[in-house]
Amino acid sequence: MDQKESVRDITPWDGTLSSSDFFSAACAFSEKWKRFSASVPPWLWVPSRKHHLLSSHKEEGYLSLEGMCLIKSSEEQESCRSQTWKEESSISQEEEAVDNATLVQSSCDEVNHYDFHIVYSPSYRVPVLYFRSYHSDGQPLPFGEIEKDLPDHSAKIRSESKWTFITQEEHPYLNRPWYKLHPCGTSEWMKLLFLGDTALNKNGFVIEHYLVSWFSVIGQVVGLKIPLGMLETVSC
Amino acid sequence: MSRKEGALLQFAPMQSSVDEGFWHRFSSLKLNKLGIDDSPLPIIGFYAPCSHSQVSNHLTLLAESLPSESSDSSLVPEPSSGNRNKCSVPGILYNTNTVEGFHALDKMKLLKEEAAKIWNDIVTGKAVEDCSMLSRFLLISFADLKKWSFHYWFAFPALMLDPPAALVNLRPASQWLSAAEAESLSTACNEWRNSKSTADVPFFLVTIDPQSRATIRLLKDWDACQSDAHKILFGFYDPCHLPNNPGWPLRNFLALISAKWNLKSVQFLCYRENRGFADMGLSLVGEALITVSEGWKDTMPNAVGWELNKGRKVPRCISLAQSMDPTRLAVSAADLNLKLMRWRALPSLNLSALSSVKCLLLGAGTLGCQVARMLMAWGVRKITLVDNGKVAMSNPLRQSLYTLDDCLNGGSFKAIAAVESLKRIFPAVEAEGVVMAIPMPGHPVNSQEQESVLDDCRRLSDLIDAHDSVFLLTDTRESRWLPTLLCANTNKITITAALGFDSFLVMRHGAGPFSHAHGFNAETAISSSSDVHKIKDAKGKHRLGCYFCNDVVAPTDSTSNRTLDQQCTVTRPGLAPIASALAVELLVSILHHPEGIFAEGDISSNVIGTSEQPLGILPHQIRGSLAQFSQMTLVGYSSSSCTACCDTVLSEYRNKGMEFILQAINHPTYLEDLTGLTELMKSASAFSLDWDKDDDGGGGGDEDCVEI
Repeated sequence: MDQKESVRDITPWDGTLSSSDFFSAACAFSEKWKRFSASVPPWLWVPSRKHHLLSSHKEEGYLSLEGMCLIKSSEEQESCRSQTWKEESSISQEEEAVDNATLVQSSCDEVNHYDFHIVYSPSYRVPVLYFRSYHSDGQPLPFGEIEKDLPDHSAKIRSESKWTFITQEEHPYLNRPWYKLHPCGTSEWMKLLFLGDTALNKNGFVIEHYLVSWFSVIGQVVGLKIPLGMLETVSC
Repeated sequence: MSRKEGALLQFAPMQSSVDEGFWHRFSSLKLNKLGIDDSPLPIIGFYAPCSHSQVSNHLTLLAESLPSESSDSSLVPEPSSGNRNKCSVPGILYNTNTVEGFHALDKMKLLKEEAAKIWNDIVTGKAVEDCSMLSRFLLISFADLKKWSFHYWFAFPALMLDPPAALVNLRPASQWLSAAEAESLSTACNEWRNSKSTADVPFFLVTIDPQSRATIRLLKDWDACQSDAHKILFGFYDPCHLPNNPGWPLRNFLALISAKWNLKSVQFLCYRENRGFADMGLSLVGEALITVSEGWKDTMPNAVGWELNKGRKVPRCISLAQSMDPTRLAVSAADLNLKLMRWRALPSLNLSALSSVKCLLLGAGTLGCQVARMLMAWGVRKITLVDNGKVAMSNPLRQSLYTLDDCLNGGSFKAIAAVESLKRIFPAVEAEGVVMAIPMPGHPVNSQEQESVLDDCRRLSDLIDAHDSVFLLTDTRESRWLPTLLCANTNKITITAALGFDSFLVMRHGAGPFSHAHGFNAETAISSSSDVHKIKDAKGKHRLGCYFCNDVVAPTDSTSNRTLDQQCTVTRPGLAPIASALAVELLVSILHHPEGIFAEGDISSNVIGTSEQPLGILPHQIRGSLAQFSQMTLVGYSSSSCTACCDTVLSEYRNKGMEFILQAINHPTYLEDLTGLTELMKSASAFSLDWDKDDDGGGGGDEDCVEI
């Protein structure tokens, strides 16, 4: 059983955190986020429904931010999704009653919906960002489409850094393929982040700040900005 | 902005959104529980008030919209309650077993049936008790579980007022209410939305007293609202975001208000939120005028509600093959593995070269099975196996693609069984099996068999032409002759693996003497007359040797007089996997070397990192010994008397084609005579030299070992 340590200044830190530390960090993160960001939906903790025989942690689960909408203007719409249906299955005008009370909308903008999950990886001992995108009717977006939505500097970060790349793997709780930022380099750059930040260094590392620091880097790759003011709290 | 009096009240249609998880669970249910049962299935839909000024909310189906899969549960989904973002509404799913059945469903009848349920709930008062009944919906679908695509169509039955309701005015709530009233209403709404017992109740009554205090009540408290001189608003969760139109749920709400409470003028509140809080600027208040006749409520009204697909009354289709088709998932997982290798360890890994190289494996035995598996692990997809044998009972132990089933009933053909096995491991492999014997010199054929042997020769030649890389993995030396010749003629990447009892040889053949497959090189025409036979390849470098270059004897029949335990199938089991693995790694190294088959042979050294290539050195030959647990790299150059690849032999082949091959097959000394080996032997035996076997490290003759 991990003890809850709030200060790690004894042994040189390897950039990772334990599962229960992740839970503390997640709570602190989502609470700060709510405080500093009124305009973005909150991160919610979703408890896991998995049955772990060995685990005695009640706090198994992940952070979820769902329903971010990216509105695409009509010109950007891909017509490849349109289905050409023969009139095998339609309703003729005579069948259905004449109805003038239904608003007929001209082509509206397509919206890409994004869901983000922060999930703890027991093998790498770090948080991992999972995400997926879908159209309003539920059809998932392929990665080529998602890439168009990512900010320009994201491609730069991903090509330059050998630690940052997006892969598609099975979501550990939902058992469906989601995209994720591969965690193999996370502990490395978290260590560097900690070493480089003298403010953090002085007080020893506080677990509650882990996710804030982590997110300040990860968020850039997917275009999620960390709310103003959140980063300052890490230093005090 | 307010609307002119008398305009028709137009509702924004409800829009559907089906989460991938719904289809995953439905597929699973269908496969494991429902089977071909196509009776209607009750499902639950979810919606919530609009929470974004530019994006409407949808009626959403999630995995939990469906009943659970456990065998002891009934086919009814578990209702959720108290979730403010998921107001549950009842629905019904008609899933057909064929696409024809899907198109043939009587849509109007189904719509009418669901609308009748809503009407019935209104008339009996059930809808007042449980108002989510007003948003009942219908879904028809056809799940194609072979292609992982789903055809579906939603209907949101709306009872029609006849004549339709007129819109008196419609404006943002903040403009209709006073500031005090707006604040009170916001507070009341937020409380309502935060309380578990009311958070998911989508229809409600709002009363505002003369002191600007707003109270929210359930529909069934209608009578309690009557006595006061209050303003009354009929509120509902509006998923729509549009500023000039109310959302779809209002339609059935108006039908209920008219039928149950007989009102002609209805003030309604389209309740919408922003970031989780009541927003009186987004929310709308409007007044509708209902002018239905007296007898309207005596008969069931007409209903509309089939969802349009981009403006057309046709169904929708979603393809989830990418995330559900196991073959695709296997392919993307395999690709991920290789990409990780490239990202993390070897940035110069050429994955497209690996996935496009076409490999021909001659022999589907101990070596062939292992080589095939290793190739797949490297991302090679195009594999052809040639073998004329059948799987024998002893094979599965050492030949990793076969199991006992392949041995039954006389045994399947190895080439066929191997391909099936590869596909079971990785369905996306493009594997082919050819059941064919490889013609061998020193195994004469009679005139009846001649034509079929020539056919086999031509077939082998075609196969070699059609591939980029050839692995010689047979169990006799003479069976390697013809493939070696054909590969040298076309400069294909040729890799030989051969096993002794506890030693192995893995080598890559050097380039052939000619620079292109057909026609003569001007240089060869000139030099062929000279004594020095051409030992340089097209690039002028000293050609590396082939498997036969080190032989001083021509390949003869080595099998007929051998005892069983001299055949090289009886080897230490560890040998074949080691040799096969090295053969494949050698291929990968060749593919990554800028000079390919023309690359010089490297020798391993003790100094690490001396190689310029990222994958390390590219040896010519690797000889290993299990007895010593050792391995060494060697370089051997081509012999001008080689019976398989010297330019004399190749020129004869180019000149005489199949006739030459036949001669070699039928006459034991033909090749030796042709290459002058006979002369060499004669002159050698004329001296009384002791043929000490020097350890010259130059790939020295292993004449005493028949197999290698």
